Order: sequence, then C-alpha cells, then structure tokens
Amino acid sequence: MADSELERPFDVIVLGTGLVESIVAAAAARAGKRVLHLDPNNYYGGAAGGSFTLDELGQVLTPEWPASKTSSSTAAPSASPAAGSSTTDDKPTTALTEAACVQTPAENADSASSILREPASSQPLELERRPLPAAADRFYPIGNAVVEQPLASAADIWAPLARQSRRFTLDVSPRGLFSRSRIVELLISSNVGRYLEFKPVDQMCFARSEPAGEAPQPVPCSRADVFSSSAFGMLDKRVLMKLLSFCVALGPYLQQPTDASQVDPDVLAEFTRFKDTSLVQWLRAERKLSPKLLYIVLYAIAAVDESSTGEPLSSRAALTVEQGVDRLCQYLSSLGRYSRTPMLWSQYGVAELSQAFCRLCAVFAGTYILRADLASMLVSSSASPSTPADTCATESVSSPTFAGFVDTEGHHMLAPWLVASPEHVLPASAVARDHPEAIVTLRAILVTNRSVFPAVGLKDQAAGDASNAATEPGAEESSADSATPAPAPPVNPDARISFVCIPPDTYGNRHLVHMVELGANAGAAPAGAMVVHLTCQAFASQLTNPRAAFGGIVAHYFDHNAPSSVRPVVLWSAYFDVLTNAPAVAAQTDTPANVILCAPMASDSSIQNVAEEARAIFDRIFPGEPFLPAAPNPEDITWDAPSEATSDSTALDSTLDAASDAAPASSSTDPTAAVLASDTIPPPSVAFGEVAASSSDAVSPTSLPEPN
Amino acid sequence: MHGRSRVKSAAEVEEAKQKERSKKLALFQQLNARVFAKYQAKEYDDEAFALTRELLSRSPEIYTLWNYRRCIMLKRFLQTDCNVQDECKAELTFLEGCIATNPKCYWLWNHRRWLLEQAPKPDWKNELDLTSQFLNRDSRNFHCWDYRRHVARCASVSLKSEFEFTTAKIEQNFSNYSAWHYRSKLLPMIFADQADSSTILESQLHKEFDMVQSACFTEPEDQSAWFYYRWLLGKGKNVALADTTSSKTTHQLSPGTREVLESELGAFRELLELEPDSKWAILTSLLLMHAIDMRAHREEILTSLDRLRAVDPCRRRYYNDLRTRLLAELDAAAQ
Repeated sequence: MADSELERPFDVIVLGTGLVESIVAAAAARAGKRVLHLDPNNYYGGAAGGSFTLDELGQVLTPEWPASKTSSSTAAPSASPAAGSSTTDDKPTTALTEAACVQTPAENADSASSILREPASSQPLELERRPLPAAADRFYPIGNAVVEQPLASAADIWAPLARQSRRFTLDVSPRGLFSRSRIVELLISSNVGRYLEFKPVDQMCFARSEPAGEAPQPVPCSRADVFSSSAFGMLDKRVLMKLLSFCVALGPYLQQPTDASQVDPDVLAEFTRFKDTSLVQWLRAERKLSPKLLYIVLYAIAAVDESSTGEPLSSRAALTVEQGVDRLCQYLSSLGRYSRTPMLWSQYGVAELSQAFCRLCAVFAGTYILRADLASMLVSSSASPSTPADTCATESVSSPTFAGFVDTEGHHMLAPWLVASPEHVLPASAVARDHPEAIVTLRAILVTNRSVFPAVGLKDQAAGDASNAATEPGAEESSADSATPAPAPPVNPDARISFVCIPPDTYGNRHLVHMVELGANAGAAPAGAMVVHLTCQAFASQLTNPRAAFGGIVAHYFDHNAPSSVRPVVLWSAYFDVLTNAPAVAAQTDTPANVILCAPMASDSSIQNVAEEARAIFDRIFPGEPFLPAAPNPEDITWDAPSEATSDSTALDSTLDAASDAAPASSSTDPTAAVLASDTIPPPSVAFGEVAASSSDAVSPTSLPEPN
Repeated sequence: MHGRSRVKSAAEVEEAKQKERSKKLALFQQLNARVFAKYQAKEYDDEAFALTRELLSRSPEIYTLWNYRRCIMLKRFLQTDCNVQDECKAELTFLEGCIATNPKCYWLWNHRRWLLEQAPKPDWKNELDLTSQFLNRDSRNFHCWDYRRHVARCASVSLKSEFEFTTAKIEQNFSNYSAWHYRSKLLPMIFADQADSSTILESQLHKEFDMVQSACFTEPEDQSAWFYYRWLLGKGKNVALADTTSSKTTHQLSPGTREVLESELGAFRELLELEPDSKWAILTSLLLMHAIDMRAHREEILTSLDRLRAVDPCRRRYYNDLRTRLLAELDAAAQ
C-alpha cells in the first residue's frame, strides 16, 4: 500500500516540521489533500523551534557538521563579498542558481553541480535535478554557540542533574502563548488542543534597576492589581486604568475593523487620529503617563524594544500607536481566560505544538517521513500551459517550477507545491547574516539551582494571607497593612513559571530582554534544578555575542560560585543566537514560484503570527478551502463507505498540474519505491485510516518516532 | 476521507431534552404529593425524613419543608438511641452540598444556623473555613457574609483577623459592599479612639483613606468605595460629614484633621481633572469643602451642585434639596 501511496503524486509536499509548516500540513490533510510531510531531522520543530534534552541540545547547538556552523556565520561574506559590504541590493547567489548555471552533467548526485535529465523519454516534461545543498553547506539558523560547564565548586550539584539529561526540556526558542490569540483560537477550533497540555504562567513581572537588589515586580494589569499595587501613585492608577479601558473598548474594533458600531466614537476618534504616530509619544504626551508608568506599560505589557526616548532598538521604525494598542489589547484580553496571567506555557516544550499539528495531519492520512534523506529537487524549467499558474498568475510563466524530490536512493516524490523551512533547502551562502536588516535572536539557557524570587515568608502564610510578599519583598512597610494579601495561593517560588521583562539598560542590557524562569510546574528540569531562558532580538550586524549581551543580567541575578551564596547559582549554561529574519531569505528570486519558504521563527517570547502565516500559505495553495475546521470527535465519526481508495481521486484530478503529470514516469522508473517505504522510513502514517477506523481514542500514533 | 461526522439534528436534541424534563417533572410531582400528604397527616417518621431530604436537595426553596424537617429532627433528637452530634453532622454535610448548588438560598443558611445551635459540640472553626471557601467562589454573596459574621461572633474569632480577611477580599475585588460593610463594623471595634469612642484612631483613619482612595482612583464609577469613603469621613474627629441633614455642622476642625481633609480634597481635584464627569468625585469634594470651610468655598460648592445636576439628572431633585439646605446653612452662618 505504502509504495503506491508514495508514487502517486501528492497535493503538497511540506519539508520541515516548524510550526508554520506543520499547521499548513495539518490544514491541507484536513481539507482532504494528499500531504507528504518530510523532515531531514529526527525531531520536530526544526533546529530553531525544537525542544531538546540536555544532551540533544549540545548536539543541536554544535552539530556534528561543524562546517555548517562556521559557514553559517562566516561563509556568507566570502561567498559573495559584495553582500558583506554596505551595498544592500546585492543578492547573494543561491545554490539553486548555481546549479542551474553549471551545465556539467554528472551521474553522482553528491556532486554539488549535477543536473540530471529525467530519463523517462515518454515524458513531455523535462525535469532537472537540482541537488540540495549538502548538510555541511546548508543554512543553519543557530550560530555562535558556547556551552559552559559548571565550575568545580558547583560540580557536585551538577553531576547528578547532568545524569538526568532526559528530564530536561530545553527550547531553542521558548515561547508562551497569549490565552486569547489566534494560535490558541486555532488550537481550540481545530481540536488540535486536545493533544496538548498547557500550564498557566504563574506570574508576569518586570525588573527595574532601582531600588537595588529588588526582586522582579509583578506587572499590574487587572483592576485588582492596579488597586493594590504600591508601585505607583493614585493619579497613575487612574491614568493606567483609563489607558486599559481605552484598549478594552477598542478591542472589538481591532478584531473586526470593518465594524465600528460597537466602539465608543470618542475612543475611535482618538485612535484614528493617533494610530500612525509613535506609541511612546502618544503615551507620554496624550495619555500623560508618568515615567514610572510608561516604563511598565511600554516594556512589561507591550514588550516594546525601544529606549525610553522612543528610539527603536531592533527594528527600523518606532512602534506605532496602532501596533502598540494591538499588543496591549492582546495582553489585556488574555487576562483571566485561563488564569490571572495572560500567558500559557506549553508543557514538554514548544515543539509539542508542531507535533500536535503533525498528529492531526497524520490522522487525516498525511504521510510522514522523518530523517528524510533527500538528494535533489526536481525542477521543471519548461514553460507549461498547466502550471499551477491558476493560483499564482503573477509569477512569470518561464520561471522554473518545483516538481518534487528525489531521495538518495532515487525515489521520486512529486507534488505541485512545496512548503519548506529555509534550513532544509537553502545553502548557507544564500543567507546573509551580516545583512543590515538581518535580525538575530540572542539566547541564553541557564540551569540554576533555585529561583531568583525569594521564598515566601512562612509567617505571611500563617497570618492567612496568600502572600503578595512573595513577589513584593521590597515593598514599603506601609503596604504590610493595607496591601499584603493577594488572591493567588502561596506557591513555592521554585515551582513557578515566571516571565520577567527586563527593559533596555536595566542591567547593562542594550535591548529588551525576556527572562523566563521555569520551575517544577513547567516540568522542564529534574527536581532541584530550574531552567532560565534569556531572549532578546538585535540586528545581527550590531550585536552578535550573546554572552556579552546577557552578561549584566546574569551577573545581577546569578552566581557562578559556591552554592552557599545568597543568589541562585548557574550550574550549566549555553549561549547562542538564532537567525530570525534575514531579508535575503525572503528575496529569493530564483526560488520556483510554487515553492513557499516559511519565515524563520518569530523570536519574541510569544507565538503570535504563526496561525496567520500558515493560513496565508494555505489560502495561496488551496484557495477557497476551509482552513482547519474542527476535527470531529472519534465517537462522532460514522463509517459507511469502505471504498476510501477512490473517494478522493476526483478532488486530486482537479488539482493536478504539470508536475504531477510526471507521476507515471517516476513510478515506472522507480520500481524501488517500496524499498524506500519499508527501509528508510518509519511505518508510514497511511495506516492512520485504520487506526481511526478501529475507533480508538483520538490520540492516534504519528508515524514519526519520538525524539529521545 | 474515511468517515463523516454524525450530527444529531436540533429537533432530535430538543426532543431528548424534553423527554428528560418531563421525566424529572413527574418524579418531582410525585415526591411533592407524598411529602405534603405526610406533612398534613403530621407524620414525623423516618420516611418523611428521607423524602424531605430527597425533595429539598432538588428544590431548597420550599421553606415549609425545612420547617417540617426541623420538626422531624427535633423528634429524632428525643429518641434515646439518637446521637445528636452525629445527626447534626450528617445534616451539615447534606446542607453543604445544597449550598454549593444554591449559595443564595435563604433557607439553607437559616437551617445551617439552626443546626449549629442544636449541635452539642458545634465546630465553628470548620464553619469559618467553609464561609472562606464559599466567599472564594463568590466574594459578594451577602448570605455568606452574613453567616460569617454570625460564625465569627460565636467562634470568638479575633476581630483583627476578620479585619484582615475583609482587606484580602477587597483587594481581590473592591466592588464589594459586603466586605466594606463588614470593615465598617469592625473598624470602630478595633481602632476606636480611647478618648472618644465614636471616632477612630487617626493613624488608622489615614490608612483607610489611602485604601479607599486607591479604589476611587482605580474605578471612580464604582460606588461601593465612595459609600465607604463617605462613612469614613463621618468617623473622623469633629467631622460631621456623614450626616449632611444636620445643620449643626461643627467647624472646630483639629489642625491635623483639617490637613488630612485638605489633602483629600486636593487629590479629588486632581481626579476631577482627569474625570470631570465623575459624579462621586464631585459630590465627595463638595462634602469635603463643606466640612473644611463652607463659607470660603461657597461659589465652588454651588457650581459643583450645578455640575451634579447636569451629569446626574436622575437625581436632580436630591441635588436641588441639598442646595436649598446648604444655602440655608450658609445664610445662618453668615448672620
């Protein structure tokens, strides 16, 4: 069954299991399309979006192919020196163009410049084989990695923890989900959420440099928080509440800009008047926020990476009122949906999200090949009357068209569309890390022995107060009487999941830094250890040393010395950066029109745009199809037609195009497809129909092996 | 696609619901008839006890049956082999379930109160915890607050800890008349001025002002805080603000109090700059001006009254009345 399944052309091939790619795969399969989902890695999420054990992370950060790491950071300027200099228009050449230029046919697919004409003479189409860049030459998003082992004084504590490598879940890109965001709505509406477990983030905090030695303060954002906060004065309370109600009033309009009837006209008038102006200016001049309040709103709630004077730090333009209000609304509307805080944390790592969508895809008969060993891409360069041009008429007809892949054993997999992660198709030379617009996410992962938050005082609990004192240890004396108890039950700080926003210039950090401290609730580390993630964004050309970028913060909160010290001790640490947005990737002019490269990871500490991105890609490929409607419950599925083999062939025919016409040729020339299916890949998920047919629980096994 | 979704039609769902409902109704009516027949026949037996329980757990609002049930229980208590404590305990557990589903039913709380009077060894501590639990679910259930005050009295809980409890509840959500009310009852008991028991220690009064002002600034529309504020003003030394009907306003403010009132007035003026239409802010600053120095603020008081009539036309007659009264006071003072 599997052989014939592989030989028949697919509607779409998805390469890479990043979150966007996985959502697209799930949506396509859900819409009844034939989906082939490939990933050369043996884990979900791609290198930048994966969740790893301690040992695995070491391998991902410094992969076995050291060449790729060095080349990703240094090869670009040498390959195209012009791109390294100030000229921005120069586009680095890609392997695809290189391959197209070099016309020396070679029999061996390993050779980087071989083009093979498809041997099937009966085919009207000419398919070129463009070799994919070898692993060592491929673009790799992670660079500048340094892993630091503990000092001798902490080695005793570290040794037993290091032996529990598999108890760690370390995210390369740790990200929380706003409770009311598109991605959460999608998880609910598509029923993918039932494959996942989330924990509410226990506290949202912000840091400030004064008073010195203060623990991070809770971000006041609900009415009760504003009321009991001692962080600012009476007038500030009113100003903040007014701003918050302004945003709340505007919420429905931002969701549905066509319908202004639900919004107070005064609110709308102010918004339309200022929406394109600078957020900082508006907050200061129009909304009369005091510096103290501005600090909280700007950094802790809107997470704006700008200096207090409004100078943007990791983008070219300052945030507008429209963008800022959107962020505030996002934050506020998420409060109270699942917990007091607006954020959810995916248990067992963010890669679980990718995996859940892959599972849905597999449930709807998507085919999976993990550790896919692809040799080359099949490209049809001849103009064809029936290219997938219906959907992308704007593309030039003479541009090459993606037709499929050939793996190292010569098996053909064909589809009219490819959705791919850049890291699997682009050579390192195609990505200019030092491009002036390139943005990297600087990262640090620390394993510490306890929380940066002080333990809850026992006497506070005895007094029957669920203690605010836990989060406000530096609060003034007077607050002890009027503002101690908070609604949250007392929690051991070492168990909590805490988000801490560290605004620019607080502890020598140039940029806004998100600190995520994962306690026992997150299940990210074995007992006795905590995981701390530090994240910030920067122009790659300006700041590339993560160790230095976080130096002040780490020195402020942590010690590297003996465990007897007052502050938590860093037991193990890793510093690296992830290339987040390189314009060269987007400007791939030579990429065939029917290849869609997914943007690399969004790097802020939340996942906001993936759902929209995936939807845009899906709509481009399958216009008019429903996007991820709710998957039915297994008990609500009735089984009446056993003839599933032919049921979807008509739908297929209509979407077939030139590339899939090549299917008969490939199947005739590749009698070994069966071997591929049984040999190199895990049992294909074609079996899903049967699993679901037995009407077992919703959780059907994906064919992808769990990374271990 | 291997299967398709099975969806019940709306009519099918409705029909199933209807069936369920009529079944329930029949059972209820049957029970009801039997219980009332026994009640009329004055039968206080075990069957009646079981049947009332059955019926009341479905509908606790039938207070006649709670009375009936209490009669049955009293009869049972008289039996020689009856362990009253256990009996009460069982009934309390039963009630707990009822209250959980109907937390605002008068008869349930009433029955609970009666039970604890009957019990030889009432566990007040447990009752107090129970009210805390119910108030966590709904912090504004006045039945529960009422019961808590009763329990706190019987359990002789320290006033201070109850005071802190109200603080906690107000911090969760300050739109809570019950919590502010309880606070206003506790405050004079804990912080009464030694010299004059009708007023409150100034140090504590200032703290209270801070707290309630915080609420007023956070949400000027919320009147529960303003009510408490007004009550507080009446509790200060020599400030007869709470009762504006009295024409005998004393004007010998102590310098300390005057200072406090001036600063409060200043704060509300700032608030009014941000919220010029806040009725409560206007009214309260008017009362403050009245207390500090009525004659000096004459014009401002009168414009405030006009403003109030404009922003709160529903109560314009009240403001008219207030105006007449204040004018009379002013005239009297001028003579």
